[in-house]
Amino acid sequence: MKKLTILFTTLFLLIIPIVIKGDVNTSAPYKTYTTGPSNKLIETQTAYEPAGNIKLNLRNPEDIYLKDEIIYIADTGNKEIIKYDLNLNIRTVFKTGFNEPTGVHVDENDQVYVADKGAKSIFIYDKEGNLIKQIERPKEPIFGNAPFVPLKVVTGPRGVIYVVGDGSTGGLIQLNQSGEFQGFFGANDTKMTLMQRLAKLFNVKSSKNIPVSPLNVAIDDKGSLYTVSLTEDKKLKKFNIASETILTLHEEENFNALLINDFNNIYALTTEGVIYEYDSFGQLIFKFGGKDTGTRRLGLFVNPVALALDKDNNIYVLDKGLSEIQILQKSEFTALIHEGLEAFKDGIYDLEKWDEVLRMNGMFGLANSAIARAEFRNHNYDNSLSYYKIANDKAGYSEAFWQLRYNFLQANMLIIIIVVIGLVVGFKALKFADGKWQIYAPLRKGKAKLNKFKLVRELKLILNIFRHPLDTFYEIKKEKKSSYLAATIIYISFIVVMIFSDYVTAFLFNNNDLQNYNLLRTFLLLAGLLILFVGANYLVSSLQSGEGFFKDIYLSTAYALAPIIVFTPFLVLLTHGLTYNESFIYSSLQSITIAWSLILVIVMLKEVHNYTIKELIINILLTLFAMVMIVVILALLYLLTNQLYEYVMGILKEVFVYARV
Amino acid sequence: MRAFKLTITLVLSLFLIVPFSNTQNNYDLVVREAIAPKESSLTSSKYTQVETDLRVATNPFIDTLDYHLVGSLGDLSFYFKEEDLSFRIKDNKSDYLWGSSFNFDYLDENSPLHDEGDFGANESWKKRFSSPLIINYYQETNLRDEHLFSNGLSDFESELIVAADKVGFQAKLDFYLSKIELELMVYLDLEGLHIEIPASSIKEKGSVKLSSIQVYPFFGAVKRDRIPGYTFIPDGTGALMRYDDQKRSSYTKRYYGPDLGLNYETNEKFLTLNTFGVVQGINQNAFLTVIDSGASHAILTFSPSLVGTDFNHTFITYTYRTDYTQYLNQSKTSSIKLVQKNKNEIDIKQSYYFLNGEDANYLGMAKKYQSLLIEDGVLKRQEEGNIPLHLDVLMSESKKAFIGRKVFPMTTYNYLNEVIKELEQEIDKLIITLYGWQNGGYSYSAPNYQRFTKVSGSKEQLKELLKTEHDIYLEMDVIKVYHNSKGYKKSEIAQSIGQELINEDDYFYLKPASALKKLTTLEKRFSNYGEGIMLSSLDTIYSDFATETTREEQIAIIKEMLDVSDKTMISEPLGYLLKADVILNTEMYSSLQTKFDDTVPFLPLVLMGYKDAFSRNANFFSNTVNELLRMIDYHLYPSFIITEKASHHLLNTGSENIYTSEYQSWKEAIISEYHFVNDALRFVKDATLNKREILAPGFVKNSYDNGVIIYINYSGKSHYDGDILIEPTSYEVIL
Repeated sequence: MKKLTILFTTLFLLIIPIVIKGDVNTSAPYKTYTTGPSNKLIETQTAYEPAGNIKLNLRNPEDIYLKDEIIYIADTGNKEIIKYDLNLNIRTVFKTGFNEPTGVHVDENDQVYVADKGAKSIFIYDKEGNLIKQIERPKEPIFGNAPFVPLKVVTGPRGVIYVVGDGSTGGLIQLNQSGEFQGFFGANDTKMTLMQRLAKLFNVKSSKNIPVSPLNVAIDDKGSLYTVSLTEDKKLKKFNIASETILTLHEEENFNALLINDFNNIYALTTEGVIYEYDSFGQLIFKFGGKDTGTRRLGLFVNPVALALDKDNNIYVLDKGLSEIQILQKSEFTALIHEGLEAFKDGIYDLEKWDEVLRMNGMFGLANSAIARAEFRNHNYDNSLSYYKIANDKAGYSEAFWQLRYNFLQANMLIIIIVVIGLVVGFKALKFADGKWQIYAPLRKGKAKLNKFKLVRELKLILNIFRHPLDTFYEIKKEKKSSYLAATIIYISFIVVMIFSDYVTAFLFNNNDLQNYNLLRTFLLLAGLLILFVGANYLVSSLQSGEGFFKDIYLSTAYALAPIIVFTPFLVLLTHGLTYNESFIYSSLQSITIAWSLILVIVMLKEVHNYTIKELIINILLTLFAMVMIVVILALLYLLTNQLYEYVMGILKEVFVYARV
Repeated sequence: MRAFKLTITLVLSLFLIVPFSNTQNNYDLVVREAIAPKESSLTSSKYTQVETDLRVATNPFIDTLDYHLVGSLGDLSFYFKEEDLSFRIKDNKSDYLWGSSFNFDYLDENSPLHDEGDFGANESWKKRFSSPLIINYYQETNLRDEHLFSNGLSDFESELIVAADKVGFQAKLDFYLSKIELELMVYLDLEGLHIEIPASSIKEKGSVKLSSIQVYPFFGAVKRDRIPGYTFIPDGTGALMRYDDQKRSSYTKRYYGPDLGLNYETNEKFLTLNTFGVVQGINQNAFLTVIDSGASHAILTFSPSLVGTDFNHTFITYTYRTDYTQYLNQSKTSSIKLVQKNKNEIDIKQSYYFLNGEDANYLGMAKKYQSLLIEDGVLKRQEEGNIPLHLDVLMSESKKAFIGRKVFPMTTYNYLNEVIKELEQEIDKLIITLYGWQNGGYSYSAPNYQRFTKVSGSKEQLKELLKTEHDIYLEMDVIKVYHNSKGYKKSEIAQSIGQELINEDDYFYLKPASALKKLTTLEKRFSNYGEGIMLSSLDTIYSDFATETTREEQIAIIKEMLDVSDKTMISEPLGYLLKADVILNTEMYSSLQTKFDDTVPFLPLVLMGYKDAFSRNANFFSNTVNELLRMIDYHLYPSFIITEKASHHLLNTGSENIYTSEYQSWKEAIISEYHFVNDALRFVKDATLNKREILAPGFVKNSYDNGVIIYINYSGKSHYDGDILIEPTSYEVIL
């Protein structure tokens, strides 16, 4: 029990880094993480360091926007929009008199857009603060009964305006510059429960699921929109112009703000004060930040609500709880990575830069895949292969492997053909020689000698399964052609083959976590499953008047596993020569093997118990049901015993403590 | 035969040279542009700020009317008022007065001493301000407090101490409500002021239990922002909190980190030294308080003005008992609150050292603290020359294998030998720490140190390596042990107050006495190798309730541990560890709370010129030039972690937080970064600072006692001092 707790706590702790004895050594009060091999979170140099804060006498501010070194702040509590010049450090009031300004945005013509939740309007001002337009609830009939309570606003190319509305379940409200409604954009998905799906199947009306409305929005320089919402999955989504999702990201925490920079890196802020930076493909580059634990430290947040970036990609975080803006300055390490990514965007694979990144952090996932791609382009396929493996990029690995295989075959095709022909001719010659001069005679004698052992004959029965399954099962049942020992050996070989497959399958097709592979656990699991099936089937069949004894079921099931035992090793070896292009070969062969075994099991059941088709179906269903019930009962037993143990220990501890006191 | 042997040696030596000449991975050091910190960063508490408030300090809140001059010693005079046990200290060099309480004239609205927004004080508060001690006690499990004048029924009597070397008073206090009796001694000697409360004098005559005592909380108090000054706290490397009337919350922290035995935790930096300081008037008047005894059970509090009172005051609270939650079952759903049964037997001994003139600042305080350590023999003057370089080397680690764990080498003895030979051509002195030199690999084998690991090479190769004249230290951890390792018994694990075994993740903490015994055995076992010992985990101290060992007693045992070997090395220094020969991972930052105004390098200043102190591994710097400049500013030497193999081999091991370490890729950076720091510090290796001036945000001028001046410019713009130009993000040495 204790070991289990330790196991689970260690696993738990591996996933979530808990700071007990904290960051005694760095210049930031949080650790910074990146993606390492196998998509694991690994520590890395501080990406953004706290660099002071800007206090502006705000009250419950909700939004900021940075353009050309001027920050616009929606000071919701004071009902005004503040401008702060970063270069001159001057604070001015842009406009007052709002009801509840919660969103601010500036377009490329320096027009300022303000989303006023209380006034239920979008206000558009020019640079000097003159009102250009006030957009209220759209009057177009297609807008329907949808509410218009603007929270945030962004603008896209050609003056299109996207509004995040409170309760706007249809998604973002798309308007043109005149305030005319053009449609909803980027709605969230809903998830149907099983009942609702069944209801749909039978065309029965059930309660509709209402999608969650988006919480915040950002737009990149190409006009693609990104939203964050409080959904159960796909919390961050990127849309194309057809409002289809082309990228989704998901984390444990809830996102509440996001921003896209010049080279399409995504910065997302969560309510827990953690900031995520992803590259344009959605791969996590940095994760850092956190919430203050009561002592107000530089770099930790109380209630972060919005993000902004300046031209050097330093991050400005608006903290509603502290009513101030915290500055996080980019480090040299981050600058290096950004330069590499910017080069990527222009199609340049700067090996030197990424080599330097790898030098600073040997496990940096992005660097490894970048170098892998670069080496691939330079035709260094074996280098590319190893970097892809470290980066756990299976798609890339497959391509590099394909190239290597192609080159290998190209170079050695002739030799391979000669060798194959040679082998075939050689075997034929030997057979001919055997016919003439009996050279295989000693082998035949050895074979006959072995056959004298009962065990060997029983094991050889496996081969008969393939050609005459029904006969073999009959022989096992009636003619006692097998024994407990043989069957146990077959079961053990089955487990060995499965474990072999887990370990030896090539990298491309292997989805097992070999580092944390628990040999004993897998063995027990498989053995337990087999015993469970045999036992459950025996119990059910005896109630169903099946003819098979326990011995028959135990023995026959073993032989039914024959296809898996025989073919899996070949499949495993095959994976070492395949790429993703031929993955259908592997998957179809694997499916055939498994299906074959399943069919054999079903046939076996019919034969051993001598059931009709109807009885057979009932038997299978009941066996499955019995297996589930047995597991449930065992779990219950375990829990109860545990409770009893804790209860007794608790009493003892109480007695002990009170006796001391 | 001979020719045969010759050819074999030649061939083998080729194998040794080839890996070093074959730079397969050509890591051209991409020269990166240093990113200078933004202006807002330079004016934040990450850096020391320019002194702008140079007003002359006067304290009209205290005087010596009604006070009786007891005597003078050295430059100080002691004044005493029997009626409320308050006293005044006069610094005769500057005529400045320090007092343990203050007058209440300011309460009158028409007084010139009254400020707008003052909280004022009612009778109850006035009595509290004048009380010498404030006691907290437990009545059942409820915490209550009482001071000497809470109810007018507490009894006290005092008698003067007038001797050739001691001037002051001794008093017996009897608190009425809590029925606690104790003896208080306040006296001057030639060193400074001392306050003592011996543990043996504390009697709990009633049923209540003593929890904590606050000693003269208002000594050195400053009203609002009337006196320019600050409180220095040894948070991390050191921080200042100035009296600017702007702070809205108090600062509280326990010395030497949280007590694991009481289930405390923290994620902030510790208070590293048993001290704090107060400055009233920059470069005019100051005092440094040193807690001679009881620091590990003491809590430092700084309460700024307008947080409860109108006064900025700093004081120490000594904790004798605490309450805790005792869990009654495994799932922690049932618990009761209990009070610690036996109080911690600690003697309170606090010393105040008064400074004036040029010494009345954090640098003067650091030098005073340094002089105390020199007297105790903890610090020794360094020799001049080039600075040493420190290398952490990970020799082996263990990975999960098919069955059990497999130990694999990260560095071989031969390779390390070659590295040393290569580096010593550029660098005079190398100090090397070996991790994972033991047979089980680095993680998961403490405290089972049986022999050197074989996976890193043969015994001969090890002997070759150890022949080097550079210092090698073997890392050992006898305090924090892995739960599955063999070297300890379950009975040796320390227990927390709730009778749980003290642990952190999968590691247990051992009882201090057991740890000392293990260390002695290990030292004997490995003494004939002649190497030093690096002791890990000495900065975690805890009350062990199995053996009833207090943290103070553990500190005494740890000091004994530092004597076990001739050469010792420690990491993450705290005050009681400074005796070690080499100090690693010296703090360069404070906890950076927003109420801090500056970060000051107090701890490095204490060690400057007297101890080899290194910073954290430079592999993990993200703004390299900025950190190196900080090392030059603070006088810390560079340290790197290296391995032979690339660090991705450490994934899925206990050392996977070492994400970059391959020597081949770090070689050039090690040499260039070493020279960057050495080209400044070799001129001042054995020197101490005379003056540390901040001429502009991010622009520091360090003046050393041997006449050398070093300018450090962290910022992104050039600065001038007279006609000397210092480029952005660089330094200048003026000889």
